[in-house]
Amino acid sequence: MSETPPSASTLNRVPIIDGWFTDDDDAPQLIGATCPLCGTYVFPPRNGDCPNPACDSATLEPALLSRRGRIWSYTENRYTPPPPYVPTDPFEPYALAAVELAAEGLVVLGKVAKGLLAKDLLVGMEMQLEVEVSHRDAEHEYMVYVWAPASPASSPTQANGATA
Amino acid sequence: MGTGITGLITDTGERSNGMNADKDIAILGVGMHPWGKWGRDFTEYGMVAARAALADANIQWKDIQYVAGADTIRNGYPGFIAGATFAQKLGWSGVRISSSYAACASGAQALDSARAQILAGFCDVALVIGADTTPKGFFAPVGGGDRKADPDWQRFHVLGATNPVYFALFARRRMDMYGATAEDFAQVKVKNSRHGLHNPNARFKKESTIEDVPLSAIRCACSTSARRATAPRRWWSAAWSSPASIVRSPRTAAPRASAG
Repeated sequence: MSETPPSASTLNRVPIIDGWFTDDDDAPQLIGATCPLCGTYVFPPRNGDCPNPACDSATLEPALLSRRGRIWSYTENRYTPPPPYVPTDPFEPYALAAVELAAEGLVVLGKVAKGLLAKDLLVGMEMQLEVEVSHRDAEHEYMVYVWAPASPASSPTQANGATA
Repeated sequence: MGTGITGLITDTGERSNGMNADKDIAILGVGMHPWGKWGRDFTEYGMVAARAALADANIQWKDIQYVAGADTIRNGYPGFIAGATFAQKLGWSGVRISSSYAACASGAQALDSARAQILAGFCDVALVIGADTTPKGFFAPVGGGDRKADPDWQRFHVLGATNPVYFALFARRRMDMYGATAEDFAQVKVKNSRHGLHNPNARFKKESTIEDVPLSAIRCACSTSARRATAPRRWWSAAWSSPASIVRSPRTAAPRASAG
């Protein structure tokens, strides 16, 4: 076995979980599902029954969700979550945000882009969906959707951006 | 961490056949095993509590007509059949049994089950026993393996969303929206410790002041003050407990907008 860590470029880039988001560098989107009868949205995507108690639909259809929303609430993990979470070594605290998608009437919990903690967040902040590396193994680079502050200008926030 | 709590309930009115929701019901006796890190089997806690409740009510086990047991999945097969497990320990008597598994609400559900049996006229005296042990640290998905379709596995693997994350979301929102402070949440610990002072079975028996409560304990206080299991639920909150990663907003309708 080689002691050298694999270089990122040789790793196979895969989503941390199948079918929850489009892995698109420029404009990733969450994949949810919607009810063809009453329009209720769900996330994560699933087949099967509409959760609206006033609706009898037994099917849901795949739907792309809005990329932007506003923070409903947020927190940060300062203790390493237990498996099946795969932590960085050493563990780096990270934030989580529940972001409200107005059009869909959904609040979607996600990690917040690396480098941001609770002190950087507020209820009501506009956020935008991005994709970043969750963790790596010998062959794979596992990608996860994250919420990053929506910046009207230029490129989206990248990990640990140190520029002033 | 483990404890056992039990209650013995009975109707106090005339024996009647069929439903009678006006019937008086009383708790005849209660018992409790001290909270603590004892490292024993959950059934031991339940038995201590059950014996104490029977003694408190001055009722013999053989006179009990219904046993409602409560436990969680974390204690394996005996926990799944908590009612039978406790009945076996007390000595099979032919008593009717129910077992409740509803996470932190298991005890309340077992009590409700016994109450319904009495109101329906199926029995006069019931024994309700809840006992549990929990592992050190965060609750984690039970069972192991890559269960990618399990919402509990999903929230831990994809997000690291432990239970306190959900309590913290409510606390943070309250702080931002309504100006709640860390001191407000610390008051929960202060209040709880004052109660613990008077309970010989309490986990903590020292009184705390606001100054004694460190930030980490404030986080604990947040979590005890937000026991969703006992809170009233609206239908959309079901989404909290599915991939727990999502909630439906209470106030937003769901128009058929094209996403994007």
